[in-house]
Amino acid sequence: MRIIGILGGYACLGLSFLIFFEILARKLFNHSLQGVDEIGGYVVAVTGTFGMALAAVERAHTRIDVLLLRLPGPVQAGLNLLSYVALGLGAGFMGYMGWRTLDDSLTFGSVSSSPLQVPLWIPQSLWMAGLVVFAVSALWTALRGLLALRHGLANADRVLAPPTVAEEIEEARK
Amino acid sequence: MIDLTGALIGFVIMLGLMFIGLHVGIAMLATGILGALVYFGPPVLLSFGTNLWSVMNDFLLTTIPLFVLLGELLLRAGITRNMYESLTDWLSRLPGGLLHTNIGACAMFSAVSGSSVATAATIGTVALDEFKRRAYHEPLVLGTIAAGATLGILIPPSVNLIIYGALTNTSIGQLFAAGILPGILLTLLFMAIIAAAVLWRPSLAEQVTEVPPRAERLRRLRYLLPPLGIFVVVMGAIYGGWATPTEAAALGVVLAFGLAAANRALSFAMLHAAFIATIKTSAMLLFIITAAFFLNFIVGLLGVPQAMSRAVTDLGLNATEMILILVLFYLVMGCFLETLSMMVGTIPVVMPVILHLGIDPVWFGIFLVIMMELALITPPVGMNLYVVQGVRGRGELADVYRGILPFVAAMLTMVGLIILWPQIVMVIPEALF
Repeated sequence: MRIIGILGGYACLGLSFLIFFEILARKLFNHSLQGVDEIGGYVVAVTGTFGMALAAVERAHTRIDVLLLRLPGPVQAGLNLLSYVALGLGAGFMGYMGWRTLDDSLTFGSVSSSPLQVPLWIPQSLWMAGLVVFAVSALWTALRGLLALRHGLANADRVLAPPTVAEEIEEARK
Repeated sequence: MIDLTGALIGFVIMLGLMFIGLHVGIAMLATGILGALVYFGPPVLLSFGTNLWSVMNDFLLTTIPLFVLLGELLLRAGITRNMYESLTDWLSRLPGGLLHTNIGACAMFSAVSGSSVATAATIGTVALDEFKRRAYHEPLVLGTIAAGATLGILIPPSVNLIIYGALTNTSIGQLFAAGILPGILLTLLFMAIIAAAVLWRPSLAEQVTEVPPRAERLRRLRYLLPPLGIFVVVMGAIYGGWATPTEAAALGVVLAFGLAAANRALSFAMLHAAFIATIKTSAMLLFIITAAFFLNFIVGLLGVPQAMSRAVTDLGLNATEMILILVLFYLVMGCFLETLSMMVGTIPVVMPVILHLGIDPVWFGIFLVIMMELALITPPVGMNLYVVQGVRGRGELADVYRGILPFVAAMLTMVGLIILWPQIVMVIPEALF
C-alpha cells in the first residue's frame, strides 16, 4: 500500500514543478502552458481516492476516541470493527456514485470544457478505481482485525484501534 | 422541509456516531444519508451525483496536498535546531528567556508546516532537550510549546482556513490576509503573558544575561531565512497578484525541496517518508471534506439553513449575543471533539446563522480558527497537551494542564479583542482586496 503514498507524492512534487515552470513561463516569456490547473485537479482526485485507501489501512482517517477509550475492551473492539465495516460501506457508496458519474461520461462521451479537451472517462476511471480500492481496503482491514481478534484484543487493537499519542509522535518524527 | 428540532436531532445523531468511534467522515456521510432517506427517499441520494467528482477534482483543493507536502518537506529539511538557536540569540534576554524562543520557534515553524502535532513534536524535542540543563518552571515550559504549536492554524498559509474557505465559499486570499494580524497579536500576547508571569515571580525562569557577540548573532540570522523566506514568497505571490493560492503552494514546495537539497537532507528515504505522510494526511482531509460537502448538500435540500435562521429570528438574538453563545458552544465542543471535526461538523448548522445575522464570513473564519486553537489545548481532548506530554515522556500530564492555563487566558482575551474590534481581523483583507 505504501507505494500509493510514494507514487502520489511524486505526482504532487511533479505537479509543483509543473506549476512552478508555468509561473516562470507566464512571467518571463508571457507564454502560458495550457491546462496545468486542470491536470492539478486530476492529480488530486486520483491520488486522493487511492490515498484514502492507504489512510484506511494505516488508520489515518480521523476518529474521535475520547469516549471510546473509556469503554470496556471488548466493546472497544466491537466498535473498532464496526467503524471499519462502516468505512468500507461508506466508501462503497461513494464508489457507486463514482461509477454513475463515469457511466454518464462514457455514455455521453463527455470531454472537459477546457483547451485540453480531455475525455473525462480517463481521469474518472482512475478516480473511481481509487474509490473501489478504498472500499476494499477498509473491509480488508476490518477482516484482518477480525482475524487478529482470535489472538486477543491487543492484537486486534494493533490493526483497528485509533493510533495512540505515542504512535502519532513517532509518525511525526519519521 | 425540516424544522429546528429535526435539525438538532440530526446534529446530535452525527455527534453520537462520532463519539462511538465511527470515522468522522462516515458519521457525516451517514447523517446525510439518514436525513435524505427520512425526509425524501432514496432518489435524492443520487442527485448528489457528479458533485462527488467536481468536489474532489477542484483546483482549489489541489492547494491542500501541496501545502501538506511543503510542511512535510520542511519538517525534514534539517532547519529546526539552527532556527531555535538563532531565535534564542535574539529573544533570550527578555524576561522569561528561552520561553520566548519556544513561542517564536513554534509560531514560525507551525506557520509554514501547518501541523500543530508536527510542530509540538519537533520543536518540543529540540526545546525540551535545551531545557534539561536549565532551571525553569517546567509546567510553563510545556505550556509554551503546547500553546505555541497552535499558532500555525491561524497564521497563513493554513490548511484549516483553506478547508473553511472551500466549505463556505469564502476567498482563501482574504482568509489568509485576515489571519496575519490576529496571528501576530496572539504571539505577542503569549510573550507578554510570559514576561508578566516572570516579572511577577522571577523564579519561574532563568535570567539569561549573556548572549553571543553581535557578529555571531548576525551571522546566525541566516538560519531564520528559510522559514521566513518561504512564508514571504508564498504570501507575497498571492498578494502580489501573480499567483493563486494553489500556485503559491507549488512555489513553496519547490523552495522547500531546494532548501532540503541545500542542507543535504534530501534522500529517497526522506522523500518517500514525506510523500507517504503527505498522501495519508491529504487523503484523510479530502475524505472529511467530501463527506462535509455531501452533508452540506443534503442539509441545504432539507432546509436546515432556513430553519436555523427562523430560530435565530424567533429568539431575537443579535450578532454579538450569537457570537458569545458560540464562544461557549465551541469551548464545550472543543473539550471533546478533535478540532477539524469540530469545524467541519458544525459549519452546516452554524454558517446559515452567521450569514443570516450579517456576520462577515471572513471574520467568522478567523474566530472559528481561534476557537479551534483553544480546543487544541483544552483538556480532556487537547491534542497538543498529549503530544507535549508524550515528547516529554515522564512526569504527570497535570503539569501540562497547569502550564497551559495562562495561554488559555491569552486566547480567550484574543477572542474578546476580535469581538470588540473586528477591525483587527478585517483591516488587512480590506486594505488588500
